[in-house]
Amino acid sequence: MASQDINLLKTKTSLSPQVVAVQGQLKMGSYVAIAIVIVIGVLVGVSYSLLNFQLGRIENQKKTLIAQLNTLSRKEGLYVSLKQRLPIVEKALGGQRLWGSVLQTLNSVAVPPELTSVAIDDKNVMVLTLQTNSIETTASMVNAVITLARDRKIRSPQLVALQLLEDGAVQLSISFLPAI
Amino acid sequence: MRYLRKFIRTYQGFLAPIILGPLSLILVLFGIYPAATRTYDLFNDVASEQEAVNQLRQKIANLESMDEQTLEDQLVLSTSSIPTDKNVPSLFSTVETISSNVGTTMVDLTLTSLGSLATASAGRQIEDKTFGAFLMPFTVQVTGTYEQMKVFLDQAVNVRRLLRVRTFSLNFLGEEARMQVQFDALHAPLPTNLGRVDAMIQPLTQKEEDILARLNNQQNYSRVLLEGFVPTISDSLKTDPFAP
Repeated sequence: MASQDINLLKTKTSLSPQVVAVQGQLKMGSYVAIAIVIVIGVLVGVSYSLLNFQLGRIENQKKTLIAQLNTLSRKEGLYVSLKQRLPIVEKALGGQRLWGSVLQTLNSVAVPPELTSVAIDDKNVMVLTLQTNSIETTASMVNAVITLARDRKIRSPQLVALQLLEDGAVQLSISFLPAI
Repeated sequence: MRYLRKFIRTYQGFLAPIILGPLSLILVLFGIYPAATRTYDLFNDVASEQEAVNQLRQKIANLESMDEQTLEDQLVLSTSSIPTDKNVPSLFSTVETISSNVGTTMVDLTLTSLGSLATASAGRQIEDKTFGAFLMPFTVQVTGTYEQMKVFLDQAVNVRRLLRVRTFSLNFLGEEARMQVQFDALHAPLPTNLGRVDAMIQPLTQKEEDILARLNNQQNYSRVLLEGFVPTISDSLKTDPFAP
């Protein structure tokens, strides 16, 4: 008997079942991949839009605040000027020395007329020039200087010069660093 | 042709993976990844701008809590101690008043390295980098008693116009003492620039308040005016409030 099937097209694939299975999985995988990409893309897009909107809002706030700050610029200028000046004032105050008080402590060493001159240089080294009528007075002055050094009222005392004059007078120069 | 149609018919199930797979990869590489990177950068921008806004708010709050008149008085106080320019007249009046108060006789006052009286000129100005200010050295000669010399030296560093004793030499001739003192007077110009708009502002510290209190307690023998105070602002978003 002749076949009733006149369909000349082959409906059945010639692929093996394994290949068909792989084909199905690949198809499913590709659909899932594109779906994930689309979802992520939408999420990224939405995030970007929201952040952009937020950035615009913040920038407007910033402009408003800067405009508000402009109205306070004189006050800010006063503040900045003051803040800049105070460290200079502090250093200047810290560098001042009460030299009169330092000279007062030297009264125990000598006063005029035995004290003939006092000088201080820019390294704060003080030089006393003394003139006495006797060696004994000179010795007591030197002892007084040593006492001041021991009491830490002066540092590094040095005998700079000592001269015995014809009339028996003694002239000496002593240098030291006042403890200030 | 027949074989091609057969091939396509056989493997038509692989068409979707072949198209969609690479398409996904292309979309990720050239679309998702750059967009995600840009979004991350935008997130950081938002965070930093928010931080800047918060700082501006804090700065405005701090400024509004300060009294402008108090600030001006404090600035005048500090500029009376270290003027904005050489202000030679205030120097003369200060030294002369000290000498007069103490009872000494001012024999000589010599300004050295004065340069131009107009501080804005490029004349000789000695800058002391440890102070951050300009120095104006001058020498004073006074006569009087030894006790007056001591008082003079102490008073000279206890007046509003800050002076620094660099050197001095004291010579005695009988009862009279003659002293030559080398002083440095300081001056520093006011800033002309406020700096960045987002530079923070903090209230004065206790140490700064103490400095101002100490200056306030010192005798002021000079008059220094706060003139020509016009600050400018560096940030391009801020406009000069003093512009006509």
